[in-house]
Amino acid sequence: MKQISNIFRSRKLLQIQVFVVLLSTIISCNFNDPSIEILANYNFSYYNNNPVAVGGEYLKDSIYVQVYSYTTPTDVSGFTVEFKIKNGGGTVDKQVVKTKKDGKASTRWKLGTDSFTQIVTARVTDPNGNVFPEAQIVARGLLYNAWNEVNYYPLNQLSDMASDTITHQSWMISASKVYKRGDNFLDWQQVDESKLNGGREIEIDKNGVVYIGTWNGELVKSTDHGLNWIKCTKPIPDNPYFFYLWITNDGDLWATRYDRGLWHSTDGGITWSNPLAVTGETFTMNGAYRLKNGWLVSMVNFGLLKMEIMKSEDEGKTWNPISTTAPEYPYSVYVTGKDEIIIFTQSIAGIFKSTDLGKTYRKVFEGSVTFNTSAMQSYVKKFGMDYYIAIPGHGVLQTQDFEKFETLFTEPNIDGLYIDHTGSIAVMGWLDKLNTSFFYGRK
Amino acid sequence: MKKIKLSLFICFLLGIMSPVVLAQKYSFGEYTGVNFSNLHGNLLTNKWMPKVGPNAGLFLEYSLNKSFSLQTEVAYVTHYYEMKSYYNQSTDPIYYDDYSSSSIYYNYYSHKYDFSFLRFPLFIKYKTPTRLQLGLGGGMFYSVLLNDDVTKTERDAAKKENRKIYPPKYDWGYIFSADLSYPITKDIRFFVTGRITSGQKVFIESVKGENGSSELGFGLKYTPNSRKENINDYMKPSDSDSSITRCYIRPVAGLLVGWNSSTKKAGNYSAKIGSSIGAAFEYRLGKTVSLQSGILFERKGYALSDSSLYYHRIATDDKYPENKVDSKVELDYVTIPLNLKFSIGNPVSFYFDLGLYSGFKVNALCHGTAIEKSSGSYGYTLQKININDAVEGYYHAVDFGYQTGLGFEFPFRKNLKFDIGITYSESFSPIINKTNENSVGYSNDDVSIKNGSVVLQFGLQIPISR
Repeated sequence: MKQISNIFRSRKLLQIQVFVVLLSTIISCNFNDPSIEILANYNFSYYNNNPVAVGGEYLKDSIYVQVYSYTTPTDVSGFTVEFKIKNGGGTVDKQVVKTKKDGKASTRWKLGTDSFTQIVTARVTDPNGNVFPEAQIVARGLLYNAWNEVNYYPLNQLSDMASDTITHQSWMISASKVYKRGDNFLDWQQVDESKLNGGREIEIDKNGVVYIGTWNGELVKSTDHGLNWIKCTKPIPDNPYFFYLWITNDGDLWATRYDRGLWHSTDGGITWSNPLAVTGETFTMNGAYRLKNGWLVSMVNFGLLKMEIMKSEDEGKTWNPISTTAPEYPYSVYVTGKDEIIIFTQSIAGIFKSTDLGKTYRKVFEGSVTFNTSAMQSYVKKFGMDYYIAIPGHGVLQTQDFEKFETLFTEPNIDGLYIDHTGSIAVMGWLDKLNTSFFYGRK
Repeated sequence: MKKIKLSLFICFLLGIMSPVVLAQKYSFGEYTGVNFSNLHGNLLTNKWMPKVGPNAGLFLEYSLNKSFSLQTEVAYVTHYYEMKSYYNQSTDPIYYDDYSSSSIYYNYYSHKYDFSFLRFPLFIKYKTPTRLQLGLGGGMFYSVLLNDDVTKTERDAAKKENRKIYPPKYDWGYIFSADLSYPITKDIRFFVTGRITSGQKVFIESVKGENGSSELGFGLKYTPNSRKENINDYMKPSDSDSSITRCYIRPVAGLLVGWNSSTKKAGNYSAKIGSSIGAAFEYRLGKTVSLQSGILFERKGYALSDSSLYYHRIATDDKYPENKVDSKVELDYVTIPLNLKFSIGNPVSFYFDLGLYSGFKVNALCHGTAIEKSSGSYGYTLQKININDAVEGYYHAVDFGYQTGLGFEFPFRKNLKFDIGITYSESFSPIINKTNENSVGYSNDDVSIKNGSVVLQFGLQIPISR
């Protein structure tokens, strides 16, 4: 024990112990923790608060770039912003602008007339000379009497439209929401009405009454241009799904849905009859035209795998092909005010006209057609003296008599055409132009 | 079965420690010290802190002869780890529309792993027949985890499902020791010991982490009935006749300069300072030729100052923005050389040596700074990364190479020699582990890195046998 005591009193041992402790401390402290220091952090935001104006005119507000700093010092002045016109042919008042103390660099933008979608690029350079990738500021320049390619919501998802030139109203459905036209052909305001949720079909009758069919099988109408909406009797009882709705020029309403036959209302949707009930078969119709002799003409698929132009002489109870000589594989039918029956076909690619209630036909236009026949689209609309026809794979034709045609718009990727109450034309994009709509603006 | 083995081992220890067998050939004692944990595994990033923990043990040593002995012990050892990560928000810069929500903050992710073991090593030791005695040893250990948080039910379930569960209940591995002892009484020596251990079982699954440690301790060794030691028991002046001495031990220490010696190096690598410390053994084959080996702890590595996607080596790819990196890579090896040494002259001699080495990787650390720039149309972020990563997952476990050196030996206190020399060494093949799951696949990736080093070394040659 004495020996051990001597050991612990030993100066050498004490020195060694101190050395060990010091070494431990040095080793354990000699490691910095991994860390991150932000030296600079800037955000660039690009603003265009009122992005729509008439082509050739100034946007209402200046466009500007805003620089934010999230590190101190927060000085955001002295950044250089270079604005350049990229698309549309317009001009900016100042091409090179320095940010002020608030970090803003702004300029006025006069839109061009070269295209509907117009683009200005803005490139930021910081005070140290670091140049950052440019960003785009987009504006819409309304072009009258020209086609505007629209690729933004809701206009690019237009699925139905109805208009009335007498009561000056136009209605649109896009992505199951109902819109009413505003000041110009691209100004559509969503209707905030719960009864219209899930809108799918829209029609206006000869008295300006607006009817909207919904995805859950309801029918809602407004007799006062959309101020009030009234729920009608369900066209197809116990049907929780959508239906097709057509209104003939005598004001009668027609509703169909595959396995539920044909339903007819003569009192504005208050009561419905079921002239054609089907069992184990399907019945759908695309378009409904009342001829002067009382016939009901439509393009019908009645238990077949193809559409046929058919007529009913007994208010929809029975249906027969309008003629054995009618062109096959129609994709649309239209009946003019003179009871001329116009058939649009894809197999022999063209437009056929009959002036004798469908007995004989004459090809009046020839052109290739590419499309999907299952789409229950509207292809023909009349405005004033002119008819406008969408030919998928070709473009938009204009005619007054279905004899002479002019190509108003050459664009193969379209399917469906509508006209608002001012005569502005809306054409739905298809295939390569899916989620795009083309608007031909009229004042 | 494992329990039986453990019981037998303890019985063996108790048996050999019984008074009946206590004799001059047996020594026993205790030591206490600190343990610097050192995790090994597929470490690629984040700081793994070498936390200090206590260790203490009782040992028993059996002398096989004057120079060699067997040692075993029962020791309490700890392996404490703490991992600190970057919370790297700058990878995707976050921009805000207004100042009200513009605060940017970082949180460290820190995770602690504490393991305590009862360790049973068995190793053979060589000790110099000197008063200040140097001992070198190596062997294996078996250890039992004491703070096992996994329940028996969980372990049984894992076993039934043939699934591994972490941490395991026991570990085994290798242990190397070096100690210096000095007699303070007739029977008692005080000693300082340094140890390196390397466990072989995975304890931290996420990084395939195996236990490792560097230990520093001190203690007392008691040899009952030992003869009174006096200076005559050790080297006498007459022993200094080097013409009849065949074996020498040479404690060495030196300053190392390491660099990337690859001729294909793609970027701006440079040299960095490191160190080398250990002991060399020399066996004289003839008057001028001797065989030399030893065990050295070497810190090699290189520095990098360039644009790169990695912090530890050059990698570029057009698809990714590079960082401006200024880093140092510390590569720690336990090196075992094997050289032929030629000496001329007396009493001051010139020597030249040439041979091979194997370096067993202990640590790989990368530290320094990197400047990361993220910019786009909508913003700009510049940030400084203070790097401190464990990166051993990127490097091979063993580095083979050649080395050559020259120097002078000067007589010192008659029977000893002091030497000063330089040693150049270089890897045979790249040290980057390019064929593992850590490879990102950048289009330009420098995997050609090799170790190169020059050591300015000082040593003291001690004759140990005739």
